[in-house]
This record gives sequence, structure tokens and C-alpha cells, in this order.
Amino acid sequence: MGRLWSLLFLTVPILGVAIFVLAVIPGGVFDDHWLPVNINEHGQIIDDLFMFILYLTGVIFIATGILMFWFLWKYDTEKRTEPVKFTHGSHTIEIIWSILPAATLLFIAIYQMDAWASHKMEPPVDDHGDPKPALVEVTGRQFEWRLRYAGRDGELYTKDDIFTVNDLHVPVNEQIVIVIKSQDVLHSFFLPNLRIKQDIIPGMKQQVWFQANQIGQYDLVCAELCGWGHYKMRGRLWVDSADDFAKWLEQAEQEQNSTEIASASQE
Amino acid sequence: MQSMESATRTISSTLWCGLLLVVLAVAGCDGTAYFQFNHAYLDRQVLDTNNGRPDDAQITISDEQEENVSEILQAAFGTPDAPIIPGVEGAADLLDQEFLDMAAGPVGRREDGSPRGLYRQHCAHCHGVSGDGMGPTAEFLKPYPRDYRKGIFKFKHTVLGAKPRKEDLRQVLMEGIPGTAMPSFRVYDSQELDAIIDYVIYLAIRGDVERQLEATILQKTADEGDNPLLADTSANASAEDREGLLDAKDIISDVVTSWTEANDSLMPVTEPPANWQSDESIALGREIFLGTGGCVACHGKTALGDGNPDLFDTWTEELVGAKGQSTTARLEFYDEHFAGTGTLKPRNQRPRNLRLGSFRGGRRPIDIYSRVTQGIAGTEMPGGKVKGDDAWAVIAYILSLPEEVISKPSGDLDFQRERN
Amino acid sequence: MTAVTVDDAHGHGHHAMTLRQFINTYVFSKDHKIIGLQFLFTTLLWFLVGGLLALGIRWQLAFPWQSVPVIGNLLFAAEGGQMSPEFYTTLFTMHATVMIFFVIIPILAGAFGNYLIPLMIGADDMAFPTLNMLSYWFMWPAFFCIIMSFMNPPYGAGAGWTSYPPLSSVSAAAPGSASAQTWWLLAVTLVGVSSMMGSVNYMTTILQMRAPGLTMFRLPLTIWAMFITAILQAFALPVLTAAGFMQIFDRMAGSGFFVPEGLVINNADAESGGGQPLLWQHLFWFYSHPAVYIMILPAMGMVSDILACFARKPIFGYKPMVYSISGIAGLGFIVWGHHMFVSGMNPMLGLTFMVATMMIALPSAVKVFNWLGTIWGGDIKFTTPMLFALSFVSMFVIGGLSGIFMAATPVDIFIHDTYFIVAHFHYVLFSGTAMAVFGSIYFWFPKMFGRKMNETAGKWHFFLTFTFLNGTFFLMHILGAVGFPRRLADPYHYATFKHLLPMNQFITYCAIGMVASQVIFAANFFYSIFKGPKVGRNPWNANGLEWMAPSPPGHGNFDFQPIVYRGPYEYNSPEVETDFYPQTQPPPDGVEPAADEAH
Repeated sequence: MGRLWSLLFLTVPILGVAIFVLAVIPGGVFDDHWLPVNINEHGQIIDDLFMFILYLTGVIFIATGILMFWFLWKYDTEKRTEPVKFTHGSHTIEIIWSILPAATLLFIAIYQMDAWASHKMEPPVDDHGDPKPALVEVTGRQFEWRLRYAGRDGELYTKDDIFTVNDLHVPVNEQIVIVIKSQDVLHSFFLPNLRIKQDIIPGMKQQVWFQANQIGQYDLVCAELCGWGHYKMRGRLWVDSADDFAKWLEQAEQEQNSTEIASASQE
Repeated sequence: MQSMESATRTISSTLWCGLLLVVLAVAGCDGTAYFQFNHAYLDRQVLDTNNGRPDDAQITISDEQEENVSEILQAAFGTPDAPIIPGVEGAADLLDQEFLDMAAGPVGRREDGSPRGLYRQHCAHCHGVSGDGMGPTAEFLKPYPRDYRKGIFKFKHTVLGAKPRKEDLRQVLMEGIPGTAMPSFRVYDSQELDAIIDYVIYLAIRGDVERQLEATILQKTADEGDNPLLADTSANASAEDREGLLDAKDIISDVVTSWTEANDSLMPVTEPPANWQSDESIALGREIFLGTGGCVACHGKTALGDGNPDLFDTWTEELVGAKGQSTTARLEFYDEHFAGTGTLKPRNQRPRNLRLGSFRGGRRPIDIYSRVTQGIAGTEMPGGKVKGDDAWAVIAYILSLPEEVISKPSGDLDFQRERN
Repeated sequence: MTAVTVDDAHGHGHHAMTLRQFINTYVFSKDHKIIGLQFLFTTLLWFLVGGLLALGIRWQLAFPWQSVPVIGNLLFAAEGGQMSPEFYTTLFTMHATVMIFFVIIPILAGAFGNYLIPLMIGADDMAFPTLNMLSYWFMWPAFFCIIMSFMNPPYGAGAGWTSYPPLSSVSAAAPGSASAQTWWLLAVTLVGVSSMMGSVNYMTTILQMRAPGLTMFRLPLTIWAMFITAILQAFALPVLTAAGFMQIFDRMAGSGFFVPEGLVINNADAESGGGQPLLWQHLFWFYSHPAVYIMILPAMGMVSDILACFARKPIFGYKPMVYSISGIAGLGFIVWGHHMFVSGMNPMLGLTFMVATMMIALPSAVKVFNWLGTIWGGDIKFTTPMLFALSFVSMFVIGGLSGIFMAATPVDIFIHDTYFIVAHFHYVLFSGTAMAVFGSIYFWFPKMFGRKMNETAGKWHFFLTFTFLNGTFFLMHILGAVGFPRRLADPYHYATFKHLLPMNQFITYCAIGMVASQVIFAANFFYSIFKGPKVGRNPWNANGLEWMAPSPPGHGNFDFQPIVYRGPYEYNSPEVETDFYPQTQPPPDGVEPAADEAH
């Protein structure tokens, strides 16, 4: 019986690795069950770090799993052949397996500080070294994203600002700065395909920044519980070509100043 | 061996427990929704009718009569999961059975891959399965979700007494109603929105017909006494017995016609004068607002919405005491007659604070034009007081209000831009 | 101390008892064993409640908006049995609350801590028996409060077990933030009081009431773990209690600790402001991070005892194990910010907390290596408790390694509030602690009831639970890698997550299997209490002091004065013929007594 249990424990590293391998490799039963496509210039580093930690922990996982299986197999009371190794430990081994992990962990920690800083502490600057102005202010409220674009004059909080909801348009291949705030409770501005997440605290204005490098439509998800409609707070990020973006902005402006009854459905 | 025996006993008691659990779990597996009878309206009508009658002539509506109304409705409209377009002229043009089927029933996919249960997925928990605005989430929301059953919708571009067009309902779905719990649904598939719009209209028609049937049966009872039924809906009913159904058909036909006529009832729009947003225009608008427009009575001199705190909208009027009394007295009426009956506790309808920059029906000039010239259906916001160029001046003034310095919060709190 | 007679297992023999005597013996008992069992039975009942709440969550995620079995027709009949979205928020809030505050913490500290501490240190009871009794009975007002929370729609608090303001502080902000939230706060505060009473008792007892010869470094690791956990409780809980009161004042007394000015939530009337939502998060996590160590350290200690017993070998690296427990606890106080990396706090703190969090993986890793060292070269007996203890080690490796992803602050930007986090904590809390708890129940059941649980049923219970839990929780890592968010009632209308429904359905089936498998355990447990085969004092041939007392021990525990000669892990010692060497057995003639420490 003991051997069967050892084999059960062996399935842990085997299946564990298998599932991750199947998930990472495209196609197959776990097709598209991995990190969503990243379209942020600054997002690749996060994916790289994720994979690095995955490999590192994977090695440790396999090693401990196999060791455990091996010990259970070999020292099963019904099958073992050697006398019990009566020992209380080994000072040397303790030192080795304290120092090595400590060094590794510290290395990982320090190695990542740059990525964190660039994501959260260093907003983009323009050619003169001034902070880049925000393109749009996103206000999370229960349960939608209210957007306020800077409008024709390029400046937020002026009379020509354009108000829309849930459809966040940005031009491609440009450094974008977005001001995010909340009207009521905590929300979180999460763009999975840009690797951006920032909790929005009512009473505080925060900024996120990115550079999208692929045109398309992507999800905007609220990632902090904000009430019964937390799941309903779906927004759409439209990464448009520069022309399309300008066109859309103009259309939105016209729509906003409309003095006639429209008959076609708005999109 | 003893351990084998106890193992067997353990396993068999486990299996019994397991069986019991499975039975319990399966017992609750019925996914059919059902329409809830509109008791509140009927009860109020009975109350009001009995008020004018001597004590020995009080009317009650029997359970059988309520059954009868429900059966007529079921014959004409079907069930929430299997809606039927009523067989009157114009209904099949107004509503699309495909759309109704997409919106109806439990959430899932139909055989051809198209969605099903859109209404239950997105709307029912607030607006209720019957469109009564009393879904499970409704009691926690401020303001309450719309009750479709009166067939009255606030935000539209048709004249005051007319129904909204489908485009108006679509605008509400696309933009949401800012300042309320009604979110924007623009990220969903366009066809899905169409399906929901048709289903909402279906619920509105059904709700309206239900009210009128209730009024009819009450009238009949008052006239003839003795709890008469409107129609014999059983399978072997005679032609005369089925006449009652014909009454229903007339009612349904009228309601459907009012919806189909919405497209022909657009509000008249005068073209705005050039420079309608100039400072002079705004100044004129302000004059009208404070004077002939009559706005101050509700919106207050400062436009903060503090002019009249005792208003109720048409949906809650049916639950509270008669007009002319104080809010407290009117709410006491509710407590006496309707508390604990599954209705939502009425709240005052506060006039809008115009300095917040949050416009529920849309912030486009044309939307505000609709409010100003046609009023808001179902509320105390009247139409017709300001017309033509004056209207545009007032609109300019309203749009300028949130930009005034005193409208903006002090200090660094400019995040409060959109509220209420 | 009252000497006890061996057969007098329940203290009063076969004499008929008056009602008053019955109440004093079994209801308001001051005997730590009775109190321990009271905790055990009540927490196992709450375990069932928490498990059912989890099934509700899994149902919605596998069959979104479909009619819910049993409660669908009870609560949501008009809508065809489909749950409302706010009900989902109460499901996950109450699931976590019940599991953390009413199951894991009380079962580790209240049930096992209470039962084992005096027995393992050779004492006749706790230092403060009356305080001990109160620590149990203070749980009942907490039960009342949490049940009140379940009462009115939406049937629970709805702001998450983390209860972040303003969602939790403003009544109108969420359906579950009205009276349900107030009851919730009261319940959690009362649990905190109960825990603090217990922790004072444990610290004092362990320090002051050890048997002669039982030095600190001859204590079983269970006791070390309980001791250090008690210190964690004592220092961390007051912060949560204070925060809880602050939130109660915000809700009821018009204070504004956590609510900034000018918010209009759900068109509610204005609240007093001037507060900062982040303050709650700091206070909450300052407690709740040490709380997660409170929820694992006793389990680690018990697993060490079980492993040594069934590997028939001393613990490898006893002192490093003790230092690791202390290291985890100490470091545990300076890492709370890793729950708040993307919260909006100063990003500089992201760097400091990242370093500290990475470092806390170290003592955990050392413990895992030492456990492996313990089974290396042993004489391994695959009994039910051993299987659970082994699975703890194996599963804790997964839980611990996944933690490294979150400690990496840039990676946490992506995986925060996704199912990656859910996978991580369920691995450490369920696949880790709960498995250790099961194993401990099988292990110490003979001591508690004088009978053994059925081994065959136990192994089936293990096998099924082990299989289903991995099926349930391992795939959540994959979901998390896709970015699948937590706490969403319907994640499938996002294009990014639409295709994840089949995986979620598989997880739900495994979860149902997992909960169903516990029926075997429940049947085995209750059957064995009455009809299990009777055993003597030491059915496992273990070394600890508790195995020297009668099974079950009478009032006063020991029928002799225990004197301790060595640590509890001297299995297969060359000093004796048998493969176990109890702590109280004097060394054979000619053999020097062991040094004061187990090395």
C-alpha cells in the first residue's frame, strides 16, 4: 500500500508541471488559457518576470516533489532495507539551505525594483521634460466608467471636454497618461492586455500610463469589489490608429453638442 | 473482522447521507420564472372605490377574479419564459418574436447558438421579472428602478403624453442614466440590445393591460355586484363566455397602437438661433428661469433643487395618501395600507440639482430641450412653459450652471464633478 | 490538583448527575479538554456552513444565472431560482468570514490549542480555567451576530471579508452594507475578544506550567507553534479590534475615519468625511497578515509531530524549526503591505514590502526542507494521519511557491485580485491547514475519545479529498494567469474570460466532490465516537506527554506526576530497544540523561 501512496504523491509534480506546460504551449486542451496578449510597450517586463519566477519555482517544485516521492518510496516501512537514520539534523545543511534561498530571494526582489518604479513611480515626460498631460480622466462609479476627454484644446477640465461612458479610445503607439478617480467607493482600473492595474481611491486622483502598440478592442475590468454590480463594470478599450482616433473624437464632440433628434442608433 | 465491519457500516451510513443530500439538492431544481400579480394597483383602486361607498356596500375582489385576470393575460401574453406577441393588429410589426425569445427564459444559449435569457441576465434583478421595478436588488437602490407597468418612461424625444420610440429606449441603454444605478449597456451586442428593448416594451404593454383589466373587473364588480368574471377562459367555454376576452383584445389593441404611434409623435424642435450659447443668451435664459419659466418653484432660486421637497412621482402616487397633505401624512397612508405587502417604501421625488453637471436623461442640448419643452413624463416636471428660442436660452443657462465658480467644489475636491 | 482514577473517564463515574452538575461538567466546563471539544464540534459545524457557501459561489461560476439548488426556490422563486448579484457578494464575503474567523482560527487555537497544550506539557489544566471557559462562550455571541447578519436580504454582509471602506462603511453603498455589515463587525470583534483571552492563557500556561524537566527546547513543535501563535494573536488582534470599532463608529456615530468628504454613493445623504480609505486597509492587514500565520503555524507544528511519529525518526533540525517559526512570526509583522501593492499607497512602500515579503519565504522553505529531512531515512508508516501530514508538506510547497509570484511587486500588478491569489491562499489554508487539521483529528482522536477512527474510511477520505482539492484549486492558478478576476458574479461577459467557463465547470464538479467526500469523514467521526474500537493510552506508540495520560484523560489529566527526561522526537533511539522513547521514560541504567535540549 505504501508504494501506492508514494505514487500518489508523485502525481503532484507530474500533473502540476503538465498542466502548466499545456497552458503555456498554444493549442491543445488548454489553448488560450494563459497570459492574455500584451500590447503595452512596458508590459513585456512583467510577463518576463512572471515566466522567470515560474521557471525558478518550477525547478524547486519538481525537486521537492521528486525528493518526497523518492523518500516515501524508499523508506516505506514494508519495503525498506536500511536501518533508520537516527539523526537530529545537520548544521552544515541548515546553513546551506538557508543561505542559498535567501540569496536567491533577495536577488529576485532587487532585480524587479526597476520594473516597479517605471510602472508606478515614473510617469512619462514630453520632450521638454515636463510631465505629459493626461488624455482622458476616467471616473469609476457604481457601476460604469465615466470618461472625460481633454477635447480640442488638449486640456482637461475646460469647457470643450467630451463626456462619454465605458468606451475608452486611445491612439496607438503614443505615450498615454490617464487620470483615474472614483466618485463613490473603491474601484480598480484593470486593463489585462496592458498589464495595468491601479486601485482607485475616492478622494485621491491617480495616474496610469502606457503605450499601446496594437490596434484592437480590449477589456477594461474593475478589479476591486465595489458592490453588487462589480461584475457589470465592463468597459472597452479601443486602441485606434491616429486617424481613427481623431475621427472618433470629432464625432463624439458633434454628438455631444447635438441639437437635433437623431434617428439612427448611436455606436 | 471488526474493522471491516465498522468500515462497512461507515460506508453504508455515508451512502445514505449522500443520497439524502442529492435528493435535497435536486428538489430545488426548477428554473421557471413567473409573473407576479399587480396587487398594489388593484388594492388601491379597491380602497378608493370603497371610500365613496357606504359600509354595507364594500367591494372585495375574490381570488377567483384575480385568477381570471391572470389567465386572460397568460392567454394573450404567455409566460416570462415563453412570451407570446398578442394577436392584435400592429403587435407583430411592433415586436419581433425572435427578439422576445432571445430575451426570455433562463440564461443560456439556444440551439442555434443565439443567446437566451438576456432580460434575466441583465435586467430582472432590478426591474423584476414582471417589469415591476421590484427585483431583489431594487430595495437597495436610490432611486428605485423603473416600473414598466404604467407604460410611462421618463427620457424620450416624443411629445409629453406619447410613448417613447425604440431609439429613445436604446439611448437609455447606450448611455445609462448617470447618477442612478442604471448603467450603460453599450458594450453589449447591438442585436442583444434590440432584443431587450422589445422585451421591455412587451412587459410594458402587458403591465398596462393588466392594470386596465383590473380596473375593468373592479368596475364590473361595482356595477353588477357578486364578483363576476371577465371571461371564461376554460377550454370548453362558449362563444358568449369568451366575450370577456374580446374586451381584453380592445384594451390590448389600444395599448399597442399607442406604442406604434410613438414614431409619429416626435416632439417639435425649433432650430436654435445662432449664438444660442452666447453670454447674452445665457443671461436671457437666467431671466426666464427665475421668472416666467416657473422653474424656481421646484428647482429653487439657486437651482440646487431645494424648491419643493414634497413631490411624488406618478409611480409612487398610487401608494401614498392623496395630494395636498404633507409628506409625513401621505407616507402614513402607505404604512397603513401597503407596508409589508412587498412594495418598496415610497420616497419623495427631489427636483434636480442643476449645478452638478449630471443630467440623467442625457447631457446633449437636444436632450435638455426635450426636458424643458416637453417635461418629464411621470414626474412633476411640466412641459410647455418655455418654447422656441426661449427654450434654447434656458438650455444655454442650464448648461452653464455647472461651470459657474460657485458650482465647483472648493479646494482639491474637484473629483466630485458628477453626482446625483 | 485532584488525583484522578483511571476508569473515571468523565470525572463522575456512573453516578446520576443533577442538572447543575451536568451544566458545570459539560456546558460551562472549565476543563480544557471539554472546552477543546466544544470548540472542535462547533467549528466542524461551521466548516459545513462555510463549505456550502463555497458551493454557492462555485455554482454561480459554473452555471451562471441558472436556478440554484435548494436556496433558489427558497429565496429567488419569482426569478426562476437564479441568484441576485448582491447575493453572490454575500456568498463570498460570508464564506471567507466563516472559514477564517469561525473555523480555522478557532479550530487551531481553540480546539487543538486548548486540548493539547496542558497535556503536552504535563499540566493538569490551563493557567486560567475560567478565562478559558469564557473564551469559548464569547464565541456564542459572535455566532449570534453572524447569524443575524444572514437574516435579511441580501442574506449577509456584502463588502468582502476584507470589508474595505467606503463600500463597507456607508450603509447605502452596497446591499450588504446595511445592518448585515454592522452585525458582521460585531461578530468579528467578539471573535477577536475570544481569541485574545485564549492567547493570554496559552502563553502563560506554556511558560509557567511545564512539567519538571520540560525545558523550552524539549517542547514539541506543536507547543512552540501554539506559543508563538498566541504571541501573534496578542499583538496583532488589538489593531483589528480598534479598526473594527472605528468602522462601527463611522457607520453609527458619524465619525469619518475612513470616509473622505463629498462622496455621494447611491444618492445617499452626505456622510461626514475627512477620512482615508487606505487607513482601514493598513489597520486591517496589519492584523490579517499575522492572522494568516496564525492560521498556519499551529498546523505546521502538529504536522511536525505527526511526521516524526510515523517516520519513527527525530525531527530533522529541531532548533532551526523553532527559529523558523519565530522568524515567520516576526517577519509576519512587517509584510502587510503586500496586500496593498496596487492599492494606491505610496509606491515606495511597494519596494520595501517586496523585500520583506520575499524574505519570509525563507523560513517556510527551511521548514519544508527539514520535513523532507525528517522522512528521509525513516521507517514510514502510511497511516491516515501520516497521509494528511505528508499531503500538508506537498501542498504547502505549492502554496508557498505561488506566494513568490505575488511577492514580486510588478507581477502582482497583474495577478492581484485574480484567481491566482485565490489559488494561493486556498492551497495554504485548505490543502495546507485543513489537511493538517484532518490529520490531527485522526491522530489525537484516540486520546480525546478513547477509541480509534476507522483506518479504511480514513484513507478513502484522504484519497478523495486530496484528489478533488487538487482538481479544484490547482487549475485556479491557470485561471489567474489569464487574469480571471475574483469576486465577479458573471465574469463571462468579458471577451478575455468568456472561454474559461469549461474550466470553471470542471472546478465546480471537483468542489462538489470535495464537499461530498467530507460525508465519509463526518460519518466516520461520529460513528467512531460511540462505536469505534477502544484503545489504550498510546495506540500510535508516540513519545509525547499526552500519550502517557489515560485515553481519554480524566479531570486533572495525569494519574502520575510527569517528569521529563528528553525531547519528544527520540524515535528509534539507540538508547532503547523499542522504536519509541517517551519523554517521561527514565533513561536505562548507565545511560547519561540527555542534555537539556533536543538538538
